Amino acid sequence: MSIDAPSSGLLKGFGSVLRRDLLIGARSAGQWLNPLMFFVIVVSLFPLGIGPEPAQLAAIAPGVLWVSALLSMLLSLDSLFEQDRADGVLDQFVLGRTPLSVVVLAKVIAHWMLSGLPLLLLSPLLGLMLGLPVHALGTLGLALLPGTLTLSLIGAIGAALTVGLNRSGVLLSLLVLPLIVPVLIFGAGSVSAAAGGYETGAGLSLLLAMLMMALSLAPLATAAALRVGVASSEQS
Amino acid sequence: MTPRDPVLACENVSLWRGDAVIVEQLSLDVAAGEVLRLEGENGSGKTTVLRLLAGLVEPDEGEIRFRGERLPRAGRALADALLYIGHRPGVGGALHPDENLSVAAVIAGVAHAPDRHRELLTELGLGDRLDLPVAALSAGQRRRVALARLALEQRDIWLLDEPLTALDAAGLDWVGERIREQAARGGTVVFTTHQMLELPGVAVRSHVLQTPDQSE
Repeated sequence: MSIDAPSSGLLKGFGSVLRRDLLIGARSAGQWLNPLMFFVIVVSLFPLGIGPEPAQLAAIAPGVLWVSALLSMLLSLDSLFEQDRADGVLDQFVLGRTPLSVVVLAKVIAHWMLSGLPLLLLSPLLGLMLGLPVHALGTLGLALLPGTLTLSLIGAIGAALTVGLNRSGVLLSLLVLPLIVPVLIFGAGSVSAAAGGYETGAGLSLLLAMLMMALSLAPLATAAALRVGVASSEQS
Repeated sequence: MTPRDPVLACENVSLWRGDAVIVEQLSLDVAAGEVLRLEGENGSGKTTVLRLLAGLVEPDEGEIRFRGERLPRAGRALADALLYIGHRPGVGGALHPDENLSVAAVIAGVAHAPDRHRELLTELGLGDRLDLPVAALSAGQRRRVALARLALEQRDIWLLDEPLTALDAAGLDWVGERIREQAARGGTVVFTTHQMLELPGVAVRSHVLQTPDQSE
């Protein structure tokens, strides 16, 4: 048995779980395609519902893009730990030598790469479709990057709290949505400001600050919630 | 009571779920080199007892000790000495058998040897299934993938929940052989099963769990 230095063990554990979840995502296209399709469909429905008036669409574009992005990411959150629980892999994570919070962080990053990153890459295109000025597209990407990551991190707490509950989707939304309202406010606000030609530094800084806080605290909270979930999950 | 030094012990452990009693006043212990078989009808709490012993579930009353020290304080030390294979065996459906073993090895903190994994899976009769997702395998084959860890991770304590489910005769023999080896090198095994498992040359102690009376 080889004994690794603790730090390399952490990195190996992190890398191994990240690779595992990305591999699973790559083999089941629905996992990353569903949120993306949902995002595209919801955003495309707005011009149909509101009418093709460019000024009006441009005015609501930041909000529409942000709300749609958050909802479509929420869609994939309740499966974050559910399959692992059903397979019994979660028990192994809890007992494993890799700290559970590191496993959680790897799973959250994988979740973001499969659901948040595709949205981020597609959002400039949808922004253009809604008539968002080209000079605001950069801010849209810059704001969605920390925003979607924060949502994955905070959403993981909700997913961990509801692990093992049947049809936890609605409960998960109730838990998570209030916590990410600040992200939505500052995210959409920054994009609107950029579209109007105003300064966006403050909003983006706040988004980054929220990301830093979520990055440092959410994995610990998620790990604690998972331990409780594993301890109380039904056996059959 | 014979004077001995239990590796893992429960003392007067009780557990409730709401109003239902799952485990009632359970006391049992296992020593090094001992093989303990938990018996009892469905609903007698075998799985829960194994999860209590693994430190995955905390008892509402009573205490669990690992080498004399109480859980959950000794939980980390216990987890490092433990190989727990649950009723749900801990293999991910979308992954190939050897990918499952690799992740399990890294998480468990043991040496990661892909060649050894493939060799072992071939020995377990999965040689032609190495490039299929585990979800495409039969229940018995999935169980074999999980049980391969018995030969990969040298741990002092094995807690095996229904390890024989869906296994064929050759699979039973293989598991029996691993349990015999574990006992011979002074390891501890606690397992549950409804099947007959012949373990010639191994003293298997049985503990029958009583289904708790829910009437009170």
